[in-house]
Amino acid sequence: MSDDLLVVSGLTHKYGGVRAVNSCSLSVRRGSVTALIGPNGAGKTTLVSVVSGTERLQSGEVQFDGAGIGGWPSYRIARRGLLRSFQLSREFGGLTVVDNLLVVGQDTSLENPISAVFQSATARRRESSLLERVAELLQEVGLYEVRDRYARELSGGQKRLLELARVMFAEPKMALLDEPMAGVNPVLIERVCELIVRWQHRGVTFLIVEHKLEVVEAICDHVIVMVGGSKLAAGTMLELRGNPEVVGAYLGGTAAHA
Amino acid sequence: MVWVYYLANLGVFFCGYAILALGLNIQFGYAGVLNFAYITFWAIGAYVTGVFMLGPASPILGETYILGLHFPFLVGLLAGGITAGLVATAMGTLILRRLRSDFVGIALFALSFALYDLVGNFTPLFNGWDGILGVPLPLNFFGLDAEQFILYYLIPSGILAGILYWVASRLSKSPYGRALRAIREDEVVAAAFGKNTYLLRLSALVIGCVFAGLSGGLMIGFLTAMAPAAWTNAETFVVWTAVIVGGMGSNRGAVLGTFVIVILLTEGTRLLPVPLELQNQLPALRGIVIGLILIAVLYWRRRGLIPEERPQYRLVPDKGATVRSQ
Repeated sequence: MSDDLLVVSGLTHKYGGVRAVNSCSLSVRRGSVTALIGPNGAGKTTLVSVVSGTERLQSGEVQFDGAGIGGWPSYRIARRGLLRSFQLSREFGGLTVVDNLLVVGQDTSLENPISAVFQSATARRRESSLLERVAELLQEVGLYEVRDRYARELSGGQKRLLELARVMFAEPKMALLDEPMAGVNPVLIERVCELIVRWQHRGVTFLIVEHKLEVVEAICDHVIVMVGGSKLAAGTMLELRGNPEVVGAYLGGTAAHA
Repeated sequence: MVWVYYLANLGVFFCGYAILALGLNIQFGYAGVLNFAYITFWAIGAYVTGVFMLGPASPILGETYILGLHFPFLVGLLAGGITAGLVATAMGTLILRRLRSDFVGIALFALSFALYDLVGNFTPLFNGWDGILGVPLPLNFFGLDAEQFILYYLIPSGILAGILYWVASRLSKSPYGRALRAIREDEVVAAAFGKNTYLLRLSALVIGCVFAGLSGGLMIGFLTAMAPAAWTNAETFVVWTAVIVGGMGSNRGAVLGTFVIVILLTEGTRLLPVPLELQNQLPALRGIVIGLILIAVLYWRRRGLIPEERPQYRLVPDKGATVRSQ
C-alpha cells in the first residue's frame, strides 16, 4: 500500500479561456489531515470539483487508493470512498436531517423499485442498523435535537454541521472538505476541529480547503499552497511561514510573527 | 337511476386519472423528472390494450391497425403498461443521460408532438385520426348491458387503482424513494454521494409511464374507442395540475388533486345546467378556472393541499455518545 492516498498530476482545468487550474500536481498522505490554502481564485475549489468528479476531468491524472479515477463520473468516485463537501451548504433541503444521512449510506443495493415494493425483513434490519449509526453521528455532531426538521429549516451553522455529518456518514476513506468553517461561529469551529481530528484517528484522510490559518495550524499535519492554479509549495505550516514566496503570495503580514 | 350511472362513470374516471396522477407524482414529485409528454404514455397504453382486444382490422370498413389479436383484457392491459414502459425506456435513454431536468421536459414535449403526428398520419398503426373503436367491453363475463357494465367496471378499476396506490406508497417509503428525492433536491450532490442519478431518474420515468399505460388500458376498456383528439397535450397539463394542487411528492395529495381538478371541475361540470348558447364556452371556462386554481396554489400553498409526508424515524439515543446542545 502506497503512502499517498491521493495523487494528482498535471491537472489542468479551463473555464472558457480561463485556466482555473494549471498543470497542478500534489499528493495527500494516507491518514493525514492536509490543508489546501491559497488566495481566492487560486483554483482550490475547482481542484476539489475535478478530483471528486463533480467537474469532468479535462487533462491530467488523478490516482486515488491505487486506481486512476480521472474522468470517472462522480458517483463511481464516491463509491470508491472519496467524498466531498461543498463550499456553500448544499443540503437536501426537502429531506429531513435523518434522511439527509440515511440517503448517503454507501450500501445502495436496496435502492431499486423491486426491493422497495417487497420490503424484506433483511431490508428492515439494515434500515434499523443504519438508524443506530444515524443516532450516534447526530449526537456526535450535535444535530440530534433537530433530527426531524427539514434540512432547509436549519440555521447556517447547523447546515455546515449537516454537510460534514453527511460526508462522514458515507464512510469515506478520504474526505475533501471545501471550506468547512465558512460562516461557522468560533464555538462551532472548535467542535468541527475536534470532530475532524477524531475522525482522523478512526482512519479517515482529509484534504481541507481552508482560509482560517489558525484552524490549519491547529489540525493540519501538512499544508499545500496553491497560487494561480498550481502548487506553489507544500510542507508544515512552520516551514511555509519561513518561505518568502509563500509569504509574499498568500500569508502576507501574518509571516512577520513567524 | 341516471344519477347512479353518472356517478359510477365519474368513479371509473376517478380511478383512471388517480393512477395517472400517482404515476406522474413518481416522476415529478419523487424524482423531479419533468415529463411534459405524459399523456402520450396513457394513449400508448390505451391503443395497445385496444388492438390486443380487438379482432383483425376490417379493410371493408376502411380501418387499419396493427395486431387485432382478440386477446383477453388482462393480457392487453399488461401489454399496454409494458409498451408504455418500453417507449419510456427508449426516450429516457435518449434524453436523460445528456440533459438537465428542464431540458428533459422540453425534449419530451417535442417527442410527444412527433408521436402525436405519427399516430395521426400513419394510419397502419392505430387507424390514424379516426382512431380505433368498438373495443369489446372487458371482463364482461355476465353479459351486462352498457349501463350495468359501468357499475360493474368500478370493481376492476378500484382494484387496479388500489394496487397501484399501494405500490406508489411502497416506493415512496423506501431507500429507493429516498434516493429519488435526494436527486430531486440536488442532482449534483446526489451524484457526489454515490447515486447513479441517470439510472434512478430513468427508472422513475419508466415506472411512472407504466402507470400511465395501465391507466390508458383501463380507460379504453370503458371508453371502447381511442383517437388522437382524446390525448392532446392539454390533457397532460390537467394531470400536472392535479399533482401540483394535491401536493408534489404526496400520494394522498395526488388522489385529492385528481378529485378536485378532474372529477369536480372537469368531469363534474359536464352536467351543469348551462344555457345552450354557452355550451361551447364551457370547456374554455373550465380551462381558465383550472389555470387560476393552479396559480393560486403555487402562490399561497406551494406544497399543495396535502404536502409530502415528513418521514419520522424512531431513533434510540446512544447513551455513550456525547450529547451536546447547540
